[in-house]
Amino acid sequence: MSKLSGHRVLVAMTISALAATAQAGVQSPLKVMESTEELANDRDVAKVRATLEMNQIKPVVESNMVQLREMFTTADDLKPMNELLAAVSSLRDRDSTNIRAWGSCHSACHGACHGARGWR
Amino acid sequence: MTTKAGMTCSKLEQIFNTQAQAARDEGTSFAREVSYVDVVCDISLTRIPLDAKEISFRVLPSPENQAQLSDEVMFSLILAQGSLNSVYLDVPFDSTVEPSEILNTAESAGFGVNLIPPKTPALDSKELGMYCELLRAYGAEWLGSPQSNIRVAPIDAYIEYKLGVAAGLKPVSISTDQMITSLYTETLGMEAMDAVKVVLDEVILKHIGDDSAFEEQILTTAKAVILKDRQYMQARAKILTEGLDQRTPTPNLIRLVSAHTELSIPDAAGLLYELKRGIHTVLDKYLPGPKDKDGVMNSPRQAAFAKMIADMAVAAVGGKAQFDALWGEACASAQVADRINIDRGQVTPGPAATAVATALNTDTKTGALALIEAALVIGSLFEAGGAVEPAEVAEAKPTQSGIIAIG
Repeated sequence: MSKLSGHRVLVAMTISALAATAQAGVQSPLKVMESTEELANDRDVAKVRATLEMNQIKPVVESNMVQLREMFTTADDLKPMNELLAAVSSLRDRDSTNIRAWGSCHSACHGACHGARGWR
Repeated sequence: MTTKAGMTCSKLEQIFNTQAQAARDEGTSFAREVSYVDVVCDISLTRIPLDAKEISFRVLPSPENQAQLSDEVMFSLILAQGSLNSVYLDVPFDSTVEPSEILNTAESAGFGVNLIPPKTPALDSKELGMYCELLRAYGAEWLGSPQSNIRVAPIDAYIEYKLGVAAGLKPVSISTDQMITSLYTETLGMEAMDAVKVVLDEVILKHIGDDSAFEEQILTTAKAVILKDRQYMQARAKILTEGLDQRTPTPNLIRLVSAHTELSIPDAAGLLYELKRGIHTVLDKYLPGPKDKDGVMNSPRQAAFAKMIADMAVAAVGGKAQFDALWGEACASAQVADRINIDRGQVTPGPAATAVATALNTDTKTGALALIEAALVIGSLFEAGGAVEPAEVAEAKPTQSGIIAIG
């Protein structure tokens, strides 16, 4: 087990270093080929994963997630990274009845203020 | 950001008074962009300069007990912490205060700690030797505490540099932080800096490990990031699947696409969504137009493009009257106006819906609503081209519960 993995500040520094590396457009030679279940069952990974939710680390991870994700070679053969899923948390507030407005920034903002007009 | 070093609390108070006078008399405003480093607490800090972004106080021992912090430093820390986000303790190389005392104080309120080196020391000087011992003592104390929430410079900057290297980054300097540059790079000199790096490597090797430990840490963190991303997306996929009817305008088309392409519901939804987004991206690229105050593009050229397609359809069927008749017949056959009542089970799907359901091997209601959704998609194009009016909705029939509409 890494001596660093449990140290919050060092995890924060690792994220900072990874974010800087990702922002520089460097493709890491590291590969993450494990399944989600395998990663979740790895105690070291789970420990760091929990630390990623802590304040000051969480916003850095989330604001750099796209670059961080693309930095590593992974075993993802799924397509759950589509734009709809990324946006789904705010879709409830949109006008879901209007195919023309689906995904429109305007309807998202308007819906956030005035509520959705879902007819189902 | 500007760095100002070697001030006292009395001097900071003078600066504040001058700035406050200027703000009162001349309306001068001050941006918080100055880093006051190595401030000596000759008195307890009472005023913070209006331009201060961060302050670091030099550690002074208590006159009664050399192993503890002086009251002036403690009170100054408390005031600064209440006003600024970034407050640091500067530990001089010859400090007599116990590392545990400093680190506990820093941990209690989240102050950073800077270990301040002697100025341009000779390689064999006693001062440099004392500084190296200070690095060893703080390295052991800080890195041995897994619950730590603070940073200890320059150890942290060097660790971050090594982490960056392990991740594949090739930084030109150890840190781009102006405070680090001012406190260490410019103070130590190149030869002493190399000697300090040797000690930092020794501390890191002892408490963290060699380069492979850094590579392991990068890999473990990368796995944690990927895990977080997958769990995030899985949670959203679940939300979308469970709330498909509330969150998408074409839930039944999505169900059909999913059934016929072996895509999951979220991926089928993503397919249709990104197809639509893709079309708009291309249209916005080639036929851009002005945006209104809400940021919505209102492109007359896109409207003209839609009108061209609509006109073509109108002409192809022999004129507007024939087109209206045909479109009206198609909408009636698809029961577009009755979409709410069909969805709520108050109107029975007609022959067209039944035929669609049979052809696509789905239940009648899903087939009926998918047909309506497809008609609305096509209708939105004709509507943009000015050939048809927005689709009408028949009056909702009351249900047994008496609820007319939801939302």
